[in-house]
Amino acid sequence: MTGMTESEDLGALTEETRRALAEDPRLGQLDVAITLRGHRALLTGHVVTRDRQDLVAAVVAEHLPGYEIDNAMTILENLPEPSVSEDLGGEHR
Amino acid sequence: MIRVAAAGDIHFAPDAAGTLKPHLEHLGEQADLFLLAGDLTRLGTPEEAKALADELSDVEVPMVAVLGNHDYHADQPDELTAVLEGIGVSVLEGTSVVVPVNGTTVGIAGTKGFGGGFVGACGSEFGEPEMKAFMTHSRGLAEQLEACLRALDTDVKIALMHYAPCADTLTGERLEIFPFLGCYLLGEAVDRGGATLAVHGHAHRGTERGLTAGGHHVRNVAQPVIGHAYALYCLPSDGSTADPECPAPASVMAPA
Repeated sequence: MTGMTESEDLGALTEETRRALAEDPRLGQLDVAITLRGHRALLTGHVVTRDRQDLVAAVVAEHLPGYEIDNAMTILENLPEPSVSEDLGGEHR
Repeated sequence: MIRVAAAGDIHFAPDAAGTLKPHLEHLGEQADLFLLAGDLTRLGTPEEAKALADELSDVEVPMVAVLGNHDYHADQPDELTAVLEGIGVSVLEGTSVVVPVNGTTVGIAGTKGFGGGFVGACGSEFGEPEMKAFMTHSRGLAEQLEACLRALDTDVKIALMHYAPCADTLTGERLEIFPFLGCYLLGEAVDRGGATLAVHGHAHRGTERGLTAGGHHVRNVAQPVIGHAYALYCLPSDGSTADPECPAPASVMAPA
């Protein structure tokens, strides 16, 4: 048998990085998608604060040395109050 | 008319202190109760719960919560519960609470819930002890939810959980992780227990609106999904027909 293909290798590396983000005692960050294309690592998902976004990038950089990190995670802090209320009446009996 | 505010997956910790409270200022004008659908903290420590409690402490309507998987990570769910109950939040797990609203009664039954999957692709209590334990846990929580809903003798019943009771509200998530996001057994509990509305979180990339197999409303209120500090829903006071008087939130009607 031969070793892993390059794409399998990248898949394992990505999953190891995701696991590190989840299990890092400073983060516990589950909602991160990592997409590797060429020399870039695109990060998407949601974090609560900018500090957590930066920490996610730092952990990813440790596990994916040599990749330029495109940190496109959405920061959720200061979400506004809602402007509409949904009426759930009508069809239910 | 029952006005419900709901949010889940706040993932709060001291690093976010002060970022939620200002956006809850008008909640008391907009809603009669506030539901919190789990993953209230990042790692499940009492310190994180205290930081969240500070944000919630000025909310003037009854607050009802369930814990989520993040809230269990530090193995201190009882400590978290004590902190939240200390500011008046009712924290449910296989239990229920009745909230009076304008002469009517709203019964809320809650559980964290668990995974397993959905019809046609659900796990079963078979094989290794770990697999049996996984599904036994999921089934047990769903059975407790159903029992709590059935026992409620209120005008309106709401089921509150963290994991999803139907696949509709998971649309947008990867299909491979559906069994980790919810279980149809929760949906069966909602249907059999007669809940007008089921509220959950957990699925950050999911969809807000769905239905159980029996046609009961399901709403995924994970903050990344609703894009607001909380979502607002109006329910008819008798749990059945539409109420045309459901107004827009007061803060929206106020002059700019």
